[in-house]
Amino acid sequence: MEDYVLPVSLGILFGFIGRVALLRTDYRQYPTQPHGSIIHLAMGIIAAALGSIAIPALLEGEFTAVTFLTLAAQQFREVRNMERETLSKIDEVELVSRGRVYIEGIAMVFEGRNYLVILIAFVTTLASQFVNWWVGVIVGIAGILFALYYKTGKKIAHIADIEPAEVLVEGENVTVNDIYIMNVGLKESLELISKQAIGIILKPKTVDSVVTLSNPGQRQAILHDLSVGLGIFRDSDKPSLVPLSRRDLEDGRVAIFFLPQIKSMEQAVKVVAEVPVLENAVRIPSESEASQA
Amino acid sequence: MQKNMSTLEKSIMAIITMSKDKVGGGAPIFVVDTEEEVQRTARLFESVLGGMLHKVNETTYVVVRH
Repeated sequence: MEDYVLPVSLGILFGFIGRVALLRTDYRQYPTQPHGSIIHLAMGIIAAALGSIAIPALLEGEFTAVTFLTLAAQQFREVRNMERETLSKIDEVELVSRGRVYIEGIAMVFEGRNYLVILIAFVTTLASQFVNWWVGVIVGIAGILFALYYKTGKKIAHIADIEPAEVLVEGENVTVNDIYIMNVGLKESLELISKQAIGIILKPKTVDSVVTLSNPGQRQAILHDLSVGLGIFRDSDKPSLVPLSRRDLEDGRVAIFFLPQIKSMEQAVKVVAEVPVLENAVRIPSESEASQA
Repeated sequence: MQKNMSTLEKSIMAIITMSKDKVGGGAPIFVVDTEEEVQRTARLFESVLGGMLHKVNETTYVVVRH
């Protein structure tokens, strides 16, 4: 039994370090501090332990022990459900909601990262068991780097050009440059809009990004992140100040209409650039057979 | 608007008009005389009902909850 102490400890250690490295709370404050993070760190330890214990279990011929991994998968799917449920509940009372697609994306990431932790712990223990401890350390570090590389998805800046635009109020019609946004009847709101609103136009870079940007979930995610990054100039009894996104049907440009608390175009462009491209919104029509014809 | 606020979605909650003979139907109709009155009534409705005022034509406005 003592033969396994070092490899297993190394596996758990590197798995846990991997989870810490993958758990980053930024300005969006998710996972929440401190308890939201504690939940995921605790889950990370469990995942790391599962990954590293699989090796001794196999070596001892305890093949049934491996079936515990399926139990783990079940457990981490539960993590995904938990995140989805919490976020959906919170979303109902947000001034600018995250939207379902964003929530699914976040929940999926939490589940996926636990599997990455299992993988790091597994390869670390494997290497230190069969070669020696310092090879295990190297493999562990490599595993964490791999996970860090793998975690970074695409950002809006990768798929679209972000251009500042003007919000124009003509009579009751509100437009961002040439893209029509909405009809506002209340004069008071129109005045607030011409004073406080900012407009941004996203020009998709490729055929594929036209489709991705058209996804309402993706656009809602942009609006939500803007409301977090700049604050929102609105209360729940002011429906006419709601932020909106509209597409130009001809060329797929997307106009963002938004009333921020901090009116800074520079900051707004930066926030939009950093919005993640949601996995569930990505479509690649250029790779379909129909487009090759 | 927040989904838990009502069961009605995308419906005309009230009609505010200055030309009574051009509107009719199921929604409550409020007949007013001046543009100012429209704005005053609508501001109240936006706050109370959580609906948004849209201008249909020069004399008629609707409050719609989205």
